[in-house]
Parts: sequence; structure tokens; C-alpha cells
Amino acid sequence: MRTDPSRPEGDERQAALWACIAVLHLAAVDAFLWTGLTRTSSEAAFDRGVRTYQNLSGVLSDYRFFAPAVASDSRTGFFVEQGDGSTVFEPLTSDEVEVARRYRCIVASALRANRKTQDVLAQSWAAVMLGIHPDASRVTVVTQSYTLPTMEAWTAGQRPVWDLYYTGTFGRRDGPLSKDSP
Amino acid sequence: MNRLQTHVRRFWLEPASSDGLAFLRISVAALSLFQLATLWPHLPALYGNFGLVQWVITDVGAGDWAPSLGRVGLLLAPLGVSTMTTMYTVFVLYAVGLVGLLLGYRTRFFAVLTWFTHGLTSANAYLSLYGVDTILHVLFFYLVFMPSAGRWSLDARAGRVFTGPTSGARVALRTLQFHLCFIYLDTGLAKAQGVQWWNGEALWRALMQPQFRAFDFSWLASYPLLARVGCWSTLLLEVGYAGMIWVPRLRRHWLVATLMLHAGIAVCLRLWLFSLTMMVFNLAAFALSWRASEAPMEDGPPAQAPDAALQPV
Repeated sequence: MRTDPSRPEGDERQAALWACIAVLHLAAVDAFLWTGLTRTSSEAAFDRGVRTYQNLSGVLSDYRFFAPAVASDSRTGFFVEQGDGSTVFEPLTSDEVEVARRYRCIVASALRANRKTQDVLAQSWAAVMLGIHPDASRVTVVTQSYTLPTMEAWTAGQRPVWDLYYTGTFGRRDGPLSKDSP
Repeated sequence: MNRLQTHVRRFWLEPASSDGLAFLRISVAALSLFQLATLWPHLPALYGNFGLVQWVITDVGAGDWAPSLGRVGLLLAPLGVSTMTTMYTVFVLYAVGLVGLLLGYRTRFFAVLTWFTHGLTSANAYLSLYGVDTILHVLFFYLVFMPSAGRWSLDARAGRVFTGPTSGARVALRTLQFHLCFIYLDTGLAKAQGVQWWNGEALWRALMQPQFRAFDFSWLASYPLLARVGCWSTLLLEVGYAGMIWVPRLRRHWLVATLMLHAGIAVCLRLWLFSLTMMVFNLAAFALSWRASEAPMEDGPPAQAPDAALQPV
């Protein structure tokens, strides 16, 4: 007959040790949130170690959702130039809300980055489009930022607009992609 | 001094039921499985080496020693394993870990597997992650250490774990509670620094952004005071959470208001997964332990209940 295990012996002593570890961890979380401990880009072993712990423990970033301000929305699309000279437009979106949100997070990250990083990311997106369209020769990446008027301006008749934020054209280096390419 | 010690000891070590932790384990695993099923057809675009953000971009910018899909891919490439195979293998292992967590079978092992594989995938996809992923990773990390198999698990049915109240469960609950307080305090204080949260524009902007838009809220522009009150209430709720949730008389009200805030975010901003995850986090940390503290105890009056340390003395 099966017997349930009894309360582990030394449970309280072991828990006290865990409580000390928990307090240290929570202090680290505090430090991640409210000090510059993880905002350094230093390659020193200590800083890398701190960042590693931060990533492993899940304090990947702060918790400033919608703070201190609600950022502008953004969207990206691709003008894909086909081999026959025609152009098709592919928006970077999805009917699945969760997926579309992640696409927008990537675009928002690019919007916050410097021009060099924007180019690298846009190149990465263009590569995906060139993979989807093996006959395409060039892809133009267009990113727009949503400008929403204030409530006061809205009542005065102003309406939102999509402003051009980034554009870049990327071509193949060696002509159309072979079938074996990833 | 002795009195302080007694209070600290009670606060951290008074044996607690693992109901809240088991609820957290099951709910988080179920939500994550749903999320994974939703994302599955889009994994190559979001997480693949030849996806929207190639691994080399995220690995170069990582600046830490945490393992990532990219690093695992590099290790396996000489063995002839393609990056796509690596990615799908890691996600299959993640799914297996989640099922193990959901069922509470060999819970500790599957908690480690889930946390590790989630970390691998997050490291290369951090540009596409948002609040829900951040919170899930925090919870997976905690589930590695927390005694979450004490209730509603195959481990409990098989007699592999102790099912009664333990001091370990109390430490786990306290950690969740403090972490939750830090989250709300951090986001509340950050919001309070922005003008948008004082003049009502934050709510207006959130509701009118195309990506969040569930309903037409353009009428709100005619009632700016309503938007302002909404923003102020959010600030009060979030900044006040860390203090008020510890006041027994206010706890229930603050918790219900917080749950309503997240329900509102889910419905009005279509942030379903994030809101549900935060609701689960709140319920696990405070509601279930608080409910247990109000339940009659077999071996003593209610004053000796687990949360007695929070009562005014």
C-alpha cells in the first residue's frame, strides 16, 4: 500500500537557506531595475556575469510596459521587384494577433536603433523576402511610423498619418537564388 | 529582538500550502502551450537562423555567457545538424517540458527543461519578445526551485512529493509576492515620470494604436477627463500595489482592481496572453495564499494562519 511522504525533515532549516537565497536574488532584481548595474555595455567579466544571471533568471529587461510614454505604432512592408520587371507589395503582418505583435516588436526595435543597426535589420528582412520570392531581384524595405494627434487636435479635426521613417533597397549579389538555398 | 525574529520567521517560514504554486505551474504551462501552438507555423520567421532577425545579429549583441539557439546551432553544425533542425528540436523539447509541468510529472526535471529551452529561444529572439515572454521566463526560473508539485500533479498522486504545507512553499510564495510588487512599482514609477500618464494621452494613445485597437475609442477625445481619470487610476493602482497589497483590509480590493485592470487590457488592447499571465501571477502569489489564511486551521485559531505575520499586532 502506498504511503504519502511525510513533511521533509529539516524543512524549516532548508527553507531558511532558500529564504536567504531568495532575498539575495530579490536584491539583485532591485539592482537590475533601479541601478545602472546592467546598462553598461562593458565586456568585463563581472558585467558579463551579471548580464548572464539577468538573462537566466528572466529579468531580461525592466517592466516598464507603456512607460514613461506610449510609443508610436509602426509598420513595415516590402516592394519586391520580380525578374519580369513587375513589383509586388508584401506587408510584414499576420492575421494572428500574437504573431503580428511580434513582427511589430521587431520593427519597433529597429526604429529605436541607430541607422547602422537599422540597415542590418532591414537587410535581414529583405533576405527573408528574397527567399520567399526566388525570382525577385531587389527588395525595398519601407518602414512607417504612426503619428496620432492628441485628443485636443483630434477634436479639432486632425487625423492620424503614417510617416515614412526608413527606406532601403537590397539586391541579390549573385542573381536569382538557387533552389538549394535556405 | 526576539519578537522581530519571531515575526521574520513567521513571515518567511510559516508552513504554507502549495496550492498557489501548483495553480501557477498548471496555468503557466497551459498558457505557454497555447502560445507555442499559435506561434508554431511562424517559428522559422520569428526564431530561425534565416528568419527576420538572423542569429548572428542577436548573438553579436548579446554580450553575455547565456546559452542561445545560435550557440547551440554553432556547436551542432559540425555534426551536420542544420540550424532548422536545431530550432525545431529545441522547441519540441520546450513543448515536452511544458507538458511535464502541466501534468506535474517529474516536475523538477521538466521545470528545468522548460526554463532552459525557453532561455535558449528567447536569447535569439529578444527583439520580437514583449511583456508576456519576460514574465514567463521569470516564472519558469522560479518553477525550477519552487515546490509546485505538492498539489494537482502526477508526482503527488504517485507519492513522490510531500503534499502538505511546507516552509519551502512559504518562501516561494514570498518571493513571488515581492517580485510582483517590484514589477508594479517599476512600471508605476516609470509611468509617473511621463507627461502622457498625467494628461490622459497615454490611455488615448494606447487605445488608438492600430496594433492594439479592438474597438473604436475615438469618442474618448471628447471626454479627456475620462482618459485622465483612467491614467491616474492606473498610476494609483500600480504605484500603490507594493504597499496596499500587504494591508489585510485593502488586499482583496487592490487585488480585484488589479485583476480588473488586466482584464481591461486584455479586452481593450487585445493583449490576452500577457494579461492572463499577469492575472495568474497575481492569483498564485496573493489570492490562493490569502484564501488559505482565511480558512479555519485545524491546529489553531485564525490568528496563527500563514499570513498572520501580516496582521496588525
